Amino acid sequence: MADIDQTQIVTLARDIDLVAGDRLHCLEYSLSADSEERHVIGPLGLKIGRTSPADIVIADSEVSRGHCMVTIVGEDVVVADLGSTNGTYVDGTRVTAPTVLPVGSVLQVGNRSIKHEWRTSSEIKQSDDFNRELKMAASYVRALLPEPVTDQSIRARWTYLPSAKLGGDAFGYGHLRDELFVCYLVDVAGHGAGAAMHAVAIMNQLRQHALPNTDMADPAAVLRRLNELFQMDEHAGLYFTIWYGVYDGATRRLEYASGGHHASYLVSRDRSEAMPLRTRNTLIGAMPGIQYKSDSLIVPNGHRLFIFSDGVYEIIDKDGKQWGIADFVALLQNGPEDHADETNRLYREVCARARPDTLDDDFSLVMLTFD
Amino acid sequence: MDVTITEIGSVTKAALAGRLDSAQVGVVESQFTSGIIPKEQDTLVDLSSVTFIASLGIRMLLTVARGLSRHGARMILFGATPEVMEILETTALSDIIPVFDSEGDALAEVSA
Repeated sequence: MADIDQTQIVTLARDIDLVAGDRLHCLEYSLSADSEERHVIGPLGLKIGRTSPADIVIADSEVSRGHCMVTIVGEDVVVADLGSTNGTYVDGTRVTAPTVLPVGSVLQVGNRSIKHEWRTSSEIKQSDDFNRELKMAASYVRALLPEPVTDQSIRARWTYLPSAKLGGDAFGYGHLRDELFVCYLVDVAGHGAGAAMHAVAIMNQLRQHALPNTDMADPAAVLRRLNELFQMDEHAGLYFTIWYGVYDGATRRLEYASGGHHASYLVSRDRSEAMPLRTRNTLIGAMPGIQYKSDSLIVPNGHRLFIFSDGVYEIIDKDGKQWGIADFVALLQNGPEDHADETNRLYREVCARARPDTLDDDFSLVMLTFD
Repeated sequence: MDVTITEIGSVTKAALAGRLDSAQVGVVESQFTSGIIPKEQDTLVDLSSVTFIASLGIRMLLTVARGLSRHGARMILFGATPEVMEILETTALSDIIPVFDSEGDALAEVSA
């Protein structure tokens, strides 16, 4: 439906000779991993608000009914706040008077980030085609991800939101044999279908528990084998990081290894402790012949393990501060928990703090609870 | 993001400045690669003015280091700020590309 609306708007814009050098001013945003919207700014401008008859309707309680207006003035695109409660922002600065919205800038309305692009009609078509391909790749990665588990002694939830450019995140978990439970997350360096395809190739090895001549219950052996199989010279210059753990339900021992990946965190039931779990090993695929180290610990009852990609915390916040992992760990330990949906609570917390244009990598966060 | 490539005798020195995030890697990668690998000589990379390195930035460094090694030359990093050092340490990149505190230490290493 959105595609049909979009095409109609573009056609209208061309008919009334809005096109300057065949270029159109557009407002673009992602609705979700699988859904994007583009609106061409016409001669009457675009009104943004929470309810119809706004041209762009954002059903967000932080958005006012008539929030702001975007118009073309001469050769500029100008945004004016319409007396909204929570304000309109251009690249993080609140709009107090009609303000030019430069090409490439980000308009923040409530929790929605909207980018101003100036595109040719052929770019729009190409972009639509490209986005469609990326969406298909993202859907394929998503199809490989495991279902949440809510009714067993190890419960699993996750939030996965691929970026608009689609990164190379993927993860999995499940029973290996007997009481052994395996969990892992891979993050391929790069964006686009290439990175996603690489992640899928790795995932297919791990999901089948079928690395050749490898004990899948031995994290260091798994990383060593992956490093042999996925050397970057033989895989289009792509390397990846991984966190891989195996939990034995009989002994409550978790053995783990990370390859170039930051720590996962084991958080106590009362959240007073957050223990980093990482072994210092280099990236997978960067150099042949590397030996990988693992470590282990006993997991107390009720502790939760958070495994995530760097897209979860590599943001710049609205004060301009570059976040590190400690900033995200503070979120794990603080704030009102959402027991039914904790990973999405953390996603919302990160979004609320991130400067919109810097939340541009895949967001992958897995939470395992060990009862 | 800026790249400045100079030579100290028979050593290449590449100074990076700014955020080496995904977008900036796209801007500087070609200049960085083409300014270093064809010289086929040991290369010092000055990170003292780099404020952040994303995974694609690590990939850029790795790719050039591997390109140099095929010609028997080495890449050495120096001057990383604590924030950047934390990123390098997370990836254990220093197991592959040596990291030194100062330019003097890095130069001494390639001269050794």
